[in-house]
Amino acid sequence: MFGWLGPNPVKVEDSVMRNDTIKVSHDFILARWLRVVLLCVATLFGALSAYLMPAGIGCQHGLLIILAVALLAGLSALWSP
Amino acid sequence: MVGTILPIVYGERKRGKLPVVLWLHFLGCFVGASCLGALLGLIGAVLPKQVMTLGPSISAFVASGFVSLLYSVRELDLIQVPAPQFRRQVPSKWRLLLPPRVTALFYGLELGWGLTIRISVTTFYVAAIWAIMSGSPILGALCMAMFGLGRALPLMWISRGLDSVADCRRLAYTLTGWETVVHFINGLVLAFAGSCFLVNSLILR
Repeated sequence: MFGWLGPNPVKVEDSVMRNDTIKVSHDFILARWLRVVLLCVATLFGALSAYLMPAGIGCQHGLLIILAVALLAGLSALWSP
Repeated sequence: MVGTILPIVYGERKRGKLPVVLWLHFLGCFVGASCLGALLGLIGAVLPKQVMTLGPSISAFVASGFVSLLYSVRELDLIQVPAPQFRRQVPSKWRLLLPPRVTALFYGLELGWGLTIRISVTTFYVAAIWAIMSGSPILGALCMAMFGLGRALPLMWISRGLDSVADCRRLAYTLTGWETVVHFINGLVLAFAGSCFLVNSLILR
């Protein structure tokens, strides 16, 4: 379902066994480029959000974001073994 | 983690009691994470002045911004970046040796502390670096307390809908399918936060 987010080595291996090597490598490259584009968009949004922030509240804005990042780190830990 | 902690909770709820064990786990996570944050902040406070040349807040934004951008490419599986960590998990023998409430508390403390176990997403490092570079035990504890909250809250929410140990196992299996999405989201958030911190540090300067 979420194969486009990152190649699953097992699936790639299965596909290679079915002689779908070319299709898999195309999907792999496409997925990689898609992730690069989304990374750039997220980076741009981050920079803009800090740049467009009214003067004087940069520190509070940064603090709020780091708290959100820490919360996300905790939530994501649900997926640890 | 779900397959380890929730069966303990279910074990207590089955006997018709309130899941005190869950609250103890929550408390453990919160206290463990806050203590880690306070310690990291304390380490930052005693760092030599040369490291904090830009001042604590700007140094914190610069350091966590760089680390954030670096680990965003790792989370998106674009470049392999090393993430130093212990590969161990919480000791499973505690479940057999200790009473459920003590086990839940100890598991919470170790999971909240986070440094001595496997770190699933590198977002943790960004929070930890910020806690160090903030140079304040209070800010460090506040930052890492959010990590502890995030670690404990989903379990409290999830456990309400589970009726058996088999449900816990099924949920643990289902969650595995979403792991790629979690890394993807973390990658994007780290990219956003990283650039935001770096621009913020330039403006503050």
